[in-house]
Amino acid sequence: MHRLLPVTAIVAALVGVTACGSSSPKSSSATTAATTSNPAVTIGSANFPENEILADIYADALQKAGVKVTTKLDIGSREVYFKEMENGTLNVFPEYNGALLDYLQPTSTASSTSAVDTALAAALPTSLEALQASSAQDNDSITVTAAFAAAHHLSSIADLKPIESQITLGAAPEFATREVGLLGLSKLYGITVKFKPLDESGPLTIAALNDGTVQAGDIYTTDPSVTKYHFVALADPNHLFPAENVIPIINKNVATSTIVTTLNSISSALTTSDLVQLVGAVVNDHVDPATAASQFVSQENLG
Amino acid sequence: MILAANTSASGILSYLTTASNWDGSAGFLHRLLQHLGYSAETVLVSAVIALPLGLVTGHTGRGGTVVSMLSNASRALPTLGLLILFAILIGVGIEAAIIPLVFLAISSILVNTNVGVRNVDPSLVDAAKGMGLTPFQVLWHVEIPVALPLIVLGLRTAAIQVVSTATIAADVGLGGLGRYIIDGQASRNFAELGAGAVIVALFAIITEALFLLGQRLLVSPGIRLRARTA
Repeated sequence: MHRLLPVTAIVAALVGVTACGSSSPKSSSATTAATTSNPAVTIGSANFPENEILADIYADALQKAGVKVTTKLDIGSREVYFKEMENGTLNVFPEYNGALLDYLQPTSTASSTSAVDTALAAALPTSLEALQASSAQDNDSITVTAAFAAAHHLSSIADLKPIESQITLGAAPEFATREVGLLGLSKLYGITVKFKPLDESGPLTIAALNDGTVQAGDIYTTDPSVTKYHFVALADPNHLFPAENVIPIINKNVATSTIVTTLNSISSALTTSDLVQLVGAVVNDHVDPATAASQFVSQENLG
Repeated sequence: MILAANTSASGILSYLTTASNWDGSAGFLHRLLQHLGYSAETVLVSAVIALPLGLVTGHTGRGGTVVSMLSNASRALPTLGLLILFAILIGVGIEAAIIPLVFLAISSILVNTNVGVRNVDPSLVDAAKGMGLTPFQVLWHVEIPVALPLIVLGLRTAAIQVVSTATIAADVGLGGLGRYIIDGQASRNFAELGAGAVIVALFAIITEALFLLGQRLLVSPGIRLRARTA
């Protein structure tokens, strides 16, 4: 989930201006028979399809649970929406535990889901609370084609060890010199591979994987290319890539038991492969995000 | 700010003067040769396409509009966009970098060759024809030697543009001097980035100097004299 980070610096200034004036680029509100016990909730999302789908899932499930929900999707940078979360303009936000921890505490070295969750709970401002993390992760990964995985019986990064000399790995140039990169791969798995500097889970890495220029690439675990080209993300048991579990962040002023239970039940149900399917449907097959979200909520009996 | 500038200038200098940065597959020598290879291949391919086209259109005086349209169109194409397009279409091989650079280089070679030949003094051409020279002989013995300063200028401009623009090959995972710029920026190693930029600039200046030298050797002294007195 690094994709928000480089954008933030540039976009923060731009979006900051527009967000002050009219901060609802895509605003919608839906009212159901709102129960008096639950406060109205405003759910935000960042400006990429997966995060909007997650916000739509939260919204759909909460509405079905009888909560009055407004959504404010498509917000360009964490600097902007996190401030709105803190001051209560937004009450619920689908976040990623690792990326949010990195935003709040850049020096943190927590890597596993539980370590990141603990550090995140401590780093959050008092007005906010992190609910239960889901097992779904939008994370960097070492990804191979299905054919290559089958030919060499690969399911985990560790399985690359016997064939390390045959592997050229494609990723963004900085992967070569980072701990979350070749250094960590050698330290945590004892694997040394050749490196081709390409892009971060972008078109070049995807094309190079498909034409065999590289045998492995750094692809986000929920990237739409995963379903489109049948890529296989290798498991990362030694935590080369810090956890990026989807986690609902809530402002304590709306944390009633109905709302908390509903959001936690979504986290319990949601898996990485669900997220891959949802993002694939929206990006590759052009399904409306709200429709995809609503189908997921009905199918999993949430809300 | 001044302190920061000094720090980075000394950082660049120390990166350039560290012996280990010159050796191996990530060293300056290897990448300089790669860069030279990309650039030479590009200029060669461009010359093979553009020189005959420029000579023929200049000699016949026909197709001048087409030449200027072609060269304007190829100049208008964004090199970086083409690079990424070809990298996705045909894979991240050397061709993905050479093709967009050829589009860049063709323009100045084509236009300068065409204009150079077309603007040869008509009385010279008439005299050559009167002496019984064939059209090819007129081109080879009269028009090309006289147009040579402009033809070489076209090649020189193309070569310098290619040397400086070939840095973008690194953006799709290829080698060359652009690696220092792309990698340095990606990993925020500004000494590496600056060192790469300095080497590219020096390489471009050396290219310019070599072409000027080549021009002195190739162009007839009589033409040089004419150009000076004109």
